Amino acid sequence: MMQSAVSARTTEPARLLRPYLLLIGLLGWIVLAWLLVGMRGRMGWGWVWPAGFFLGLAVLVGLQPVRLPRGAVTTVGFAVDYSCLLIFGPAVAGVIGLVSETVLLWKSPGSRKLFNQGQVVLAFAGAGLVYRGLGGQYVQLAGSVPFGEKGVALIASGVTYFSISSLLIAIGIALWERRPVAGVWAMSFRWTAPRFLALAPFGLLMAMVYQTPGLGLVAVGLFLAPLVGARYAFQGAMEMVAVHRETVWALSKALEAYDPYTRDHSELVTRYALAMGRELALPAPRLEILEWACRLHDIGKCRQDWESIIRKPGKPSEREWEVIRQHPVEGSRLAERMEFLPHTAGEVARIVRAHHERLDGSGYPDGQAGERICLEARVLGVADAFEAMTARRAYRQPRTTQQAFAELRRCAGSQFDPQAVDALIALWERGELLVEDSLEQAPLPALLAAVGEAAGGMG
Amino acid sequence: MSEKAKVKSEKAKGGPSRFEIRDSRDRLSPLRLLASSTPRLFLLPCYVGATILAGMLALAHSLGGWGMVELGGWELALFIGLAAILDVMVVPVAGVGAMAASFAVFFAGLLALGAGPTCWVAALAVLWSDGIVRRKPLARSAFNASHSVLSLLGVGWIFQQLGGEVGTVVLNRWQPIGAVIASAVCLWLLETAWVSAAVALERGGGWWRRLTSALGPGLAWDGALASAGLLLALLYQSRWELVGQSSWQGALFLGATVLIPCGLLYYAYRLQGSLGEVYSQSLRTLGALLEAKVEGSQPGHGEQVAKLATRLAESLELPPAQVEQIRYAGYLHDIGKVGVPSAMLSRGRDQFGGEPEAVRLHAQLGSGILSPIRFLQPAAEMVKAHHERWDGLGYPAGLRQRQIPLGARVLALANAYVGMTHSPAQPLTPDQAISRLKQAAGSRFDPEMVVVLARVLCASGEVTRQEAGEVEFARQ
Repeated sequence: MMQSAVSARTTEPARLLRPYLLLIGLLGWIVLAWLLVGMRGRMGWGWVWPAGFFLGLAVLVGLQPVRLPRGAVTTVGFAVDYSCLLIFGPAVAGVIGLVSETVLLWKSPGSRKLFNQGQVVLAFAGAGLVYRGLGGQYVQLAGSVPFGEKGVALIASGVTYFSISSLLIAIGIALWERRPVAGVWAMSFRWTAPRFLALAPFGLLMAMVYQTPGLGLVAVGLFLAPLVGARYAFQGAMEMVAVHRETVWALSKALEAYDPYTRDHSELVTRYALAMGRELALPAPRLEILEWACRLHDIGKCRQDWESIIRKPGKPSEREWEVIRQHPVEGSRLAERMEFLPHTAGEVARIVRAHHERLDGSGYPDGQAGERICLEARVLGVADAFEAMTARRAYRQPRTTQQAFAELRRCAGSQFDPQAVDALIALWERGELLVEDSLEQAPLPALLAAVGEAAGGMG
Repeated sequence: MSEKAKVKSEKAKGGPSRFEIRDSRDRLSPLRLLASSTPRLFLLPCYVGATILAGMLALAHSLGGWGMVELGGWELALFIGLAAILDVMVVPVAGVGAMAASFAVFFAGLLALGAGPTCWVAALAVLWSDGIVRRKPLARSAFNASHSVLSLLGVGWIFQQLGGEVGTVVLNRWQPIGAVIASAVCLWLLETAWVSAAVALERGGGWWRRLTSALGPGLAWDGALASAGLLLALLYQSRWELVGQSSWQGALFLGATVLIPCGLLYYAYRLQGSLGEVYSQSLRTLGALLEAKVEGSQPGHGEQVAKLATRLAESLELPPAQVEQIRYAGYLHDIGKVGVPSAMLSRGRDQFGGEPEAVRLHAQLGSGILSPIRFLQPAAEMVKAHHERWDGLGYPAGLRQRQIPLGARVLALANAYVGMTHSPAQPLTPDQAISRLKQAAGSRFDPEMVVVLARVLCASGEVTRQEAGEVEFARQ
């Protein structure tokens, strides 16, 4: 029951994809049949009604995912899956998982449905094997289980479930996007592991509550009520996060939109930096932080005298140079007051502060060098420089992309991070970098023209 | 601002009932203005004192009925511990200020231990979390502990009247189920009523209004917690026979079953609550950025306008969501000026004393920037109309009187007042500004709004009573 954020597809999927999906699906069905035959006669029929309840629960949980900002989705399905395993064992849990996946993926293509069925069953089978192997028992078979003594079996089975499931899906995505499996897994799953395994105690508690004599399903229902409440509150919080993001980005864009020198600069920098971040296999949360930093990296330039300092012919005076050197500091101070991502306080501000540092330590404001500058800031630095070189500006001809690359290569190692430069060039060579200005034009120019007209009429 | 001064000044003026508000479309009815009942600070100590006294008497009395369930010392310790942890988890609720997650343990105790022991659990937990963790004044902590004790004893009595049996809750017959549900509802109602009365006495706003506005949000929170509490009671009743052989394992299990779901619920509520603050902070920062970028704007202007507009909106008793949008509009009302060439902005007024055409466009430009943000739609409309005039001679649309959105009228007045009192060239004193605004009431500004502004500023002592009083005199 894991879902990864849908990522943009640029290449044809590998030819092996279809056979892989079918293989996993078939393997799953065969294993399930084998498990069911092995279970036959040992459990009676007492499990049917509770299993139906848990099936309904699995489907409900799957239908009510928490939508994180930017289209990513998370569910607490693992908690239900895990308690199914502990209560019923892998055979019945496999049936529950298989049916719920089928319902949830009703409209998906057949091969994807088949794959997910197989993937769930295999994960349950592996986890069950580990659990039994380490001496664990199932509630429905044993009546009640002293879970307190089986800590190792419980942890190992949870880890097994997550490993099998995430690995099988990562292979599928890797074949679909023609990227290395390790990279896909690192980007989409490695960072979710703690959050995922933190759900295991919920599953365990649910199984323990279920085995209370005379209560069973009622107790499970009572246990779930606060979690449902939490889910809705969390969803509300996520909506607020989305509104916050939308507002800050729109307004920070408006602040630079009316300036012919900077119009769309941050938008393009964001686009380049995110593509590079993906190329460097940054995990999703760090990409999100990078995006915030890109959007806000120049807000330190919001001051009335900035233009006059920058456009003044000749060398800037000592005071003006100080203003220029301070803009990342000012920007990070402002970013600190605006960012909101749970658990990442200060990250965005740190990147904004460091985006004019150079690898050899001759940058500003802190003169940090090498690895001391965080990777996101190095990526942002390259994207910023590339955009500045290639953008069409009213006051000068842009350099060609090739000239810009030559310049970046020349300064790689001293000013720029070679890794980031290579990533950018690799993206360009594969045709995945949209350098042409294809940004949608907001309705701002029309109003700007109106202001111009009014000003003309005045003069 | 001193509450007493407010009360006194209202008395001096003969109360607010003399304002005549003709149109109730803006929810500005005389009834509402009346209902903004002032805090009754002389009644508050009586109420709090009576509650504390009754609570202490009830606690002492409940010692007599102790033996309803045989209680081991550490079982009581488990309940006290859980209640103490959950009582620290407090979420803000409109109307009553805050609600704690300890509701779950109180309810569980009521069912499993009976009201007598539970009110001791509650008293200890509340005194600990309020008095020691949150360092509230003793009277406040004691009041909170006392109202919990009294509600618990009352609901315990109701539970028994409905045929519930302490320590043996069964859920396979309808009558005990009904008793359980009714007790949960009564506990929720009693607690909310008790606290909202105190808050109404302390901060004004009317008891009934505070109670009704608190019941809705409290229902989801307390309902979820009641469910967790019932589960705790049931598991406690089964004495964790099956769970663990030694009692520490049982305690761990019981604790986890309550603390983990309630903790998650608390975390999600907190997250949701903290985001509003973060959002407001971001808009303030963006507004300040705008002031740094646009020539001729006063640093801090947006923030001051937002503050004053919020005070105005609050004294009009507008719904919280609308007050919020007015505040946002205050921070950002001049955002359209980023689109106006700086040469225009610094040119000053033309020979007729009006702003240049290009500057006039800023209202429309600003709403153009804000309106793509769906959440800020209402604020965008206010920004668009914040230079409209009451007599219809404003811009951009030339709206008249109540065609102008209420928020925009609030904003226009706040903007004018802050502009006058903080003008870099020749700042006016608040009294001078108010008398200027009074001259413009009915032409530039909504006359009723000017009255409200005068009242707000007079209550906080910024404007002398004579100046504010004359407004009323002029209106009679």
